[in-house]
Amino acid sequence: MTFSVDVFQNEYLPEQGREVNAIVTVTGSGTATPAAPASDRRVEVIIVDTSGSMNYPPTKLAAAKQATAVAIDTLRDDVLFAVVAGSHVAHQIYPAAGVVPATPSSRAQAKAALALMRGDGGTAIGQWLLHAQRLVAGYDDAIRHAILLTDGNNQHETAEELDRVLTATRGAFTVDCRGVGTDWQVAELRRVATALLGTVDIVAEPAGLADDFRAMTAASMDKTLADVALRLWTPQGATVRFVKQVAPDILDLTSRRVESGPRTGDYPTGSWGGESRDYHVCVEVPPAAVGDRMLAGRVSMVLPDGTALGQGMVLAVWTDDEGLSTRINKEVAHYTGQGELAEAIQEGLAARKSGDVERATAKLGRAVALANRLGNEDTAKLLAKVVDVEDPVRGTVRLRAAVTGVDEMTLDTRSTKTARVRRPTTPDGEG
Amino acid sequence: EALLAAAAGDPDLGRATVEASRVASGAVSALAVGPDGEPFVPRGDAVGAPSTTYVSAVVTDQDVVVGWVGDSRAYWIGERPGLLTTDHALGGVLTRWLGADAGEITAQVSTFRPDGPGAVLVCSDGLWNYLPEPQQLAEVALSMARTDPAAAAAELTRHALDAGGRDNITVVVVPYPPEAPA
Repeated sequence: MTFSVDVFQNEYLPEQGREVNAIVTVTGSGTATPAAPASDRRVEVIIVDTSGSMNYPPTKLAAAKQATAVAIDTLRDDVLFAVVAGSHVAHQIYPAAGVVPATPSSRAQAKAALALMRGDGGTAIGQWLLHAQRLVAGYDDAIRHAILLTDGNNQHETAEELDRVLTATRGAFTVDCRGVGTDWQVAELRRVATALLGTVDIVAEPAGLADDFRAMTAASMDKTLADVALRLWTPQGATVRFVKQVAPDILDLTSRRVESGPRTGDYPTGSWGGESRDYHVCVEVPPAAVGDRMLAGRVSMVLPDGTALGQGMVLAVWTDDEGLSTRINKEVAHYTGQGELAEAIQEGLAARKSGDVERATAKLGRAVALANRLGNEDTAKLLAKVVDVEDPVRGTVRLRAAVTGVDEMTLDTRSTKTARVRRPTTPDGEG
Repeated sequence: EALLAAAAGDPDLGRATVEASRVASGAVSALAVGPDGEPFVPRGDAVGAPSTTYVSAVVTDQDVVVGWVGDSRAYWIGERPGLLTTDHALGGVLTRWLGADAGEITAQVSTFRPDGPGAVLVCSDGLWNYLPEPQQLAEVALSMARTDPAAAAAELTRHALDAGGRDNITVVVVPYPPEAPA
């Protein structure tokens, strides 16, 4: 597998200019190469909420079991797997302990063991994650992934307890989180997915779980490299303002930096397959004289053994030509807008919830305008279920009186999902 | 003893728990004796084979790992008490048990990391039929569970007997975090 790293930026800074912004597109492609051998082992842990509320309605637990069976059938041969039922404790469902390779017989046994799943007890997601951490311990060279399904609040542990677990389990595995129904907390599940470098989404109807579990498992099977980090070198005197994944969804990695050398830090990106992701890197450099050029950053992707793959350069050039320094880079502007859009949605929904109609209307109107301008068609559709849009360009909206919980939560959950920048030509930057 | 040996030989306490239950399963099955005095041979209709339920707990300074078969239970007794097992029973009828008529059965495993000091209570239905709620058990036992676990177990047993308990009662209380060996 290889990584290509492309940088999009306006490298021109005005006199005394300090802030350098760049969008870094990383594309993983091809199969295993000697430099980047694919992890030949995978561990997949399927964690299903079996708290008492999963019985209401009973079809919810039944659908979760059926989805788990579908996920089991989607596992490739020899993938090490386990099924865990979560309540205020973690119950191992299959195998009796540890993980086992997927074979026709182990898949059949696992599906039979789903009968052990009973809706009973509370919800403590931290306990489930700790259990999964024990299961993947010792498989450091494998691609370690979990699917986590819940239907409700994490009410049997405090936010602090969950945070402690998230810190303790960081890097142990990646986890894709799903909330079924509308009784779970978007912010809470997003915290889990963010800490463990996975996705979060809503499955409004239990009937939709099977397809979703199949897709998640298949996506996990397509990963070929685990524990890849984005390495950023910056020059003397420079400060990293932030490093964020901005596509396919927004994930702030700034606080996740691990120093890996002089003026060099690694930001975890989890597992990779054949896919492309965009990162927004913002570096503050010491100003230099007009006409000076500086290497403001160097980006590469690194494997756990230190092998660096692909490289991109972030530049700074000081100029007194305002035509150059005020030019707006299309990619940077697009993803800055994507960040504003996510914020406007989340703040608008929060205001709506607290009854602040004026603020909610302003924020959600701004979101409509941004979604329209940036080409976020899916987001625009979700917004239109929460507000009546009079003018999508100006963002003139009225709050809808009756909004379903599903529509509101879907908009909130997917607010961090970004649209890729429209890129009709070959990548050559703009500056 | 099997659990201790397994736990000593296997850092994975879940696996040790399962191995110990396998030994227990074999031991219970071996108790079965056919009408001719020969070892019992499992048949479809297995009337007369001794059977039992099973529960174990390994308490480390970090985690609690419980294993169970049937309707014996483990509870966390602490600030926020809770049931750590899910009965293998439907409508009061066991769906899993140990015995020659059950074949080789191993324990189901649950793990739990307590949020503070407390104790793990393992017991048979002789106790929990009379005190089923974690909160009730904690009210009776929490005050002495850490300092005098034996007294806590005795007090719980007395409560069950006072409530009319006629079934045999097994109760073990293990403090968390465990005392370091002196």
